[in-house]
Amino acid sequence: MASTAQVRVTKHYATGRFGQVHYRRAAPPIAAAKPALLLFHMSPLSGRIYEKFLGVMGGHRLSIAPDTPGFGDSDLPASPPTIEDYAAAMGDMMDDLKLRQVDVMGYHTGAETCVALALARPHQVRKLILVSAPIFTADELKSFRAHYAHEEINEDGAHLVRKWKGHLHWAGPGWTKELVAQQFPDALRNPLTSWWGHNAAFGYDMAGALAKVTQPVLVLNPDDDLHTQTLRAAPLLKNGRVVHLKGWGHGFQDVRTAEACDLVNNFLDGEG
Amino acid sequence: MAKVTKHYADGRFGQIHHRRAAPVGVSTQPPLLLFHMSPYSSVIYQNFLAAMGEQRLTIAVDTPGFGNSDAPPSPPQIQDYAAAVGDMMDALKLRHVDVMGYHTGSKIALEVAIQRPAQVRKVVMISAAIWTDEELKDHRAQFAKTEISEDGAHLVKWWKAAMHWSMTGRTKEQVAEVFPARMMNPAISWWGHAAAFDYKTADALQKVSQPVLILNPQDDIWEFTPRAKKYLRNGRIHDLPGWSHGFLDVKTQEATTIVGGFLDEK
Repeated sequence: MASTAQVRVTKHYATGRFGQVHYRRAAPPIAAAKPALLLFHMSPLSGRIYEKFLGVMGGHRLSIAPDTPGFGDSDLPASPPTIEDYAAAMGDMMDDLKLRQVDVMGYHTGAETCVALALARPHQVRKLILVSAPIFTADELKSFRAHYAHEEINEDGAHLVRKWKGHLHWAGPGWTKELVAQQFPDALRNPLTSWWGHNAAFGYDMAGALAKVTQPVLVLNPDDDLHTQTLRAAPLLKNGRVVHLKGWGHGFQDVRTAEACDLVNNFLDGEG
Repeated sequence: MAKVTKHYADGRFGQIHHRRAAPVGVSTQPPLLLFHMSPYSSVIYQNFLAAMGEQRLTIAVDTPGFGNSDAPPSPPQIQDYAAAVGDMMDALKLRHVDVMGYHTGSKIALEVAIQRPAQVRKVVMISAAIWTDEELKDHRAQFAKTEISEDGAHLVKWWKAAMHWSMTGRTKEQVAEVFPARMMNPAISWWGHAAAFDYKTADALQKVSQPVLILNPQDDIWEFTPRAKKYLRNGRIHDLPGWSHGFLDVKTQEATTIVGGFLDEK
């Protein structure tokens, strides 16, 4: 079993095309001879979702979880961006931090950013881990777009209750309401523009992009709200596989931190 | 408007997150440090920073345990928060500063002036509440730790309080912009109020020889601030009737003029 010792997680800013990029970072006391691992979060939320995961993964390799532009503490683009724009900003951060070679891991919207970054920087991105790789049908896209459209702010706070109940509904086993409450404020940040993340995700041709990726891909498919859509990714993978995480749901990186790190380490440190 | 950027410095409790704005040219004014109310974060000063940053280097700090600043290992006192601010001043090599704080932050400003008398030139306090023992008891109960509930009742309680105390002209969108900072670290976000209620503001005011300007908006602690008058050695109270929470966004220019005017007085 891999070590679950915790290393310190620190926070910093780098610069990218949309302004400041905020990120969390953890690294072994003695630098590892491995590419850095970049971790991209889902929409909305922030790099905070990887706080505990970083504490363990940082013992194995330099691990960096940025806030997507417009989320967490990263500056907002001037207009609704595409997944390619998010990936370009992540590339800027790589340049700023002088990261020549990286592995990338992304969660939902973040998974699409991984794919776009791997295509934009094929020589710099070595391996990909995608937590869900959703391939939507036209009908699904329509209903997802409606569900994640810009939400009204209500005088009586009803918008908070709707969102809170949604988060609790999709919380995976073991993810307590206290753990959800730790992440929840990030879902409410920049309320007028926080729909941009989903908007970019639904505008991305994930099937077309995934089929072009030549690097090794590990798709992790928990039993969450994108499980069905992720099953469709398997035939598109040139050099990868889909692993079903049975009984896992949102919050697994907090609840099953050691197991998740083992899965990721085995893939990153293994052959191919 | 000056550009606002965000940064980290190191202090005794770990990383201290702060927002910063500065004039394009050189300013001869001492930097102004800003401390927020409990819970919240330096986000409440975002617009004020952009305005005040045109005049002088202005830095709004996330109190340890709030915003993005690392939390102390146990509930701190106002003295501990002020000491961490001192660490940040050292890390940023700020020799001479003015300080301004909002509610809990006003007590931090006062305490920084006491701990670093040779480095703090002037003090601006938004409210300077002096409570009786009876009132303190009520306040402690009102601002105790809130349990997280399945139905989101805790969120509605916080939201309604924020809306209720917002001044005329503050939109729900403006409240929604800063409200996430209200919800952060819910297990320990009561620490700020706990420290404020333990602090002996009357005693502290008597120790301060620097010029003090107390701004008294008509908010939830407006009635407790006039009691500060008799303890002021070198200061005054400026009542702001009709102003309440959100004035930093609704009355940004007026607030900048009042504060800038006081700081620039000979």
